[in-house]
Amino acid sequence: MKKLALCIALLGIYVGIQIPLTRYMADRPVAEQVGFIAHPQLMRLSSADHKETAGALLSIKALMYYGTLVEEARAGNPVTVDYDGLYRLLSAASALDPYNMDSYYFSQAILAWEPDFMPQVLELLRRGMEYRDWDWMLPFWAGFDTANFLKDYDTAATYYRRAAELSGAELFASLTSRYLYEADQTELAINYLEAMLKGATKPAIRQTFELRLDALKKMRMIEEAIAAFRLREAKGPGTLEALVRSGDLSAIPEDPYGGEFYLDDTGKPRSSRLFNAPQPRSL
Amino acid sequence: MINQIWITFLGIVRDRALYGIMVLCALFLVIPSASSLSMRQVTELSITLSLSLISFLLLLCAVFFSSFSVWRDIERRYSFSVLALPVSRSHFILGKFLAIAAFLTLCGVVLGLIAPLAISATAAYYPPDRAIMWSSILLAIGYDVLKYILLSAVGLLFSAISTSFFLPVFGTISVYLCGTMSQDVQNYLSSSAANDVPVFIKELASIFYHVVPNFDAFDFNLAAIYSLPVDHKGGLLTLGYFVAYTLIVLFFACFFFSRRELR
Repeated sequence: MKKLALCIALLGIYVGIQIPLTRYMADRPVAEQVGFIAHPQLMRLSSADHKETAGALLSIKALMYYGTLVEEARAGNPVTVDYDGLYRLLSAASALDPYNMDSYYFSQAILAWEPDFMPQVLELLRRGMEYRDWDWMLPFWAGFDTANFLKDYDTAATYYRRAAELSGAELFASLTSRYLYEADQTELAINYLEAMLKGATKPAIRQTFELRLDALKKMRMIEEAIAAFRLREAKGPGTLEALVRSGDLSAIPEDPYGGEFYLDDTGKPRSSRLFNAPQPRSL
Repeated sequence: MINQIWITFLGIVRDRALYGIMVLCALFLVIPSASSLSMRQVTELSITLSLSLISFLLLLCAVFFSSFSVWRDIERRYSFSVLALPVSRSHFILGKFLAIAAFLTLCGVVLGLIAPLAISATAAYYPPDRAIMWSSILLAIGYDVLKYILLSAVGLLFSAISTSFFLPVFGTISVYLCGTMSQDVQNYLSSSAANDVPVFIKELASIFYHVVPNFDAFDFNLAAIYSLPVDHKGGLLTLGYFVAYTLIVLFFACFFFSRRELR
C-alpha cells in the first residue's frame, strides 16, 4: 500500500512538472531555438563517423526553425529571422557533409534573397559545385544570384554555361545568351521562382516562394504599365499615381510583404521590403 | 580453439544480445518517415540514417562484448576453469576475439539485409536523382564491420591488462573517438592554417596519428550515400591496414594476458 502511494506521489510530481515544462518549451521565443552552433571543425571532430547524419540534422534544424517562424508570421505575430544563425547552421551542415544538397538548397531558397548574405550564399554554392560536380542546379542558382542580385552578367553567363554543360538542357544555353545582353530581369526572376516552386515540397519553403512570386508578378505588372506609358507619352510616369491617373494601372498593387511599391530615381519600380528589407529583417 | 570460439559466441547469444539488436532494429521502421524531413535528398538521408544506425549498433556490440568478456570471465572465475584445461592463454584471447568478430559479422549481415528494405521503401516514394549503388552501401557496411572488429581487438587488449571494467570500456571508447578524429587533426596540422602551431605539438600529433587506429580510412559512407565512385586502391590499402593493425593488437593482447597474474 505504501509502495502504491509512493508510486502515485512520484507520478503526481512528474505530471506536475511536465505540464508547466511543456508550456514553457512551447512558449520559448523561437529565436532561442537556433541556439549555439559550435565551430564546424569542432563539430567534425566530435561527430565521429556520423558526420553526414550530423550535417543532415543541422539542415533539418534550419528548416524547422524557419518553418516555425513562417507559421508565426502567418498567424500575424511579429517575427525576426536570425539569418546569421541560419547561415551558421547551413555552413556547419555543409562543412560536415559537403555533398548535402539540403544546406545549399535552403541557403538559395531563403538566404539568397537577403542582400547582406549574397557573398556567403555564393561561397556555399561554390563549395557545393566543388563536390557535387555532376549537379546542374548549383551553377544554375549561382548564375541566377550573380545576375539578379549582383548584376554581374559575365559571371552569371559562365555559371549558366556550366549548368548547360552538366544538364545538356537548351534552356541554360538560351539563358546564357540572354544574360549576356542583360535581359528582362523581372521576367527571368519570375521564371526562376516558378521553376523553384514546382520542386518545393516543404510548406515553409513553398509559402516563401509564393510570396516572392506574388510580389514579382505585381512588380512585372507595374513595369508593363510603365512601358505602355513611355510608348505613349515618350517620358516616364515619375510616380505610380501617375500610372493610375493615366489608366495604365487600375490601382497601385498591394505589396504582399507589407511594404509599398514606388518608382526610384531612374523610374524603375521597387518595393520598400522586397530585396532590400529594412532592419530588423523580417519575413 | 574452435570450442573456445563456439562457447564465447554462444555466451554472447545467450546474453540476448541479438534480441537487443533486433529491438533497436525497430528504429529502421522510423527511417523512411524521418528521411522525409529532408528538402532535396530524402533517399540519401535514408541511406545516411541507416548507415549511422548500423554503425551505432556495431559500436555498442564491439565496445561491450570486447570490454566485458575477459573481465567478466575473471570475475565469475570462469576463466580459471577454462585455463585449467589444456588451452593456452593466447588461444583463450584469440578464441574470444574470433567469436566477437563472428558475432559482429553476423550483425553486419543481418543489418545489411534490413537496411536496404528501409532505403527501398523511401526510394519508392522519393526516387533519388542518382541511382542507388547497392554495392557501395554493402561495401560501406562491410568496412564498418571491419572497423568494429579492429575496435574489439583494442577492447580485448585493454581487457587483457586491466583488473576492472573501467579501462576496457572507457579506453575503447576513447580509442574509437581518437581514431575517428585523428585524420581530421592531421589534415588540419598539415595545412597552412596551422602554421602557428608549435613544431613539437605537430610532431606529437604525428606520432599520435600513426599509433592510434585510423578509423577514417574505413569510412566509405559518402560513396554509398551519394553514389560516388569507390576508390578501390584505398579499399585494398585499408584492408591491409586492418589485417596488420589487428594482428599487432592481438599479439600484444596475448602477450600481456600470458604474463598476467590471475588470482
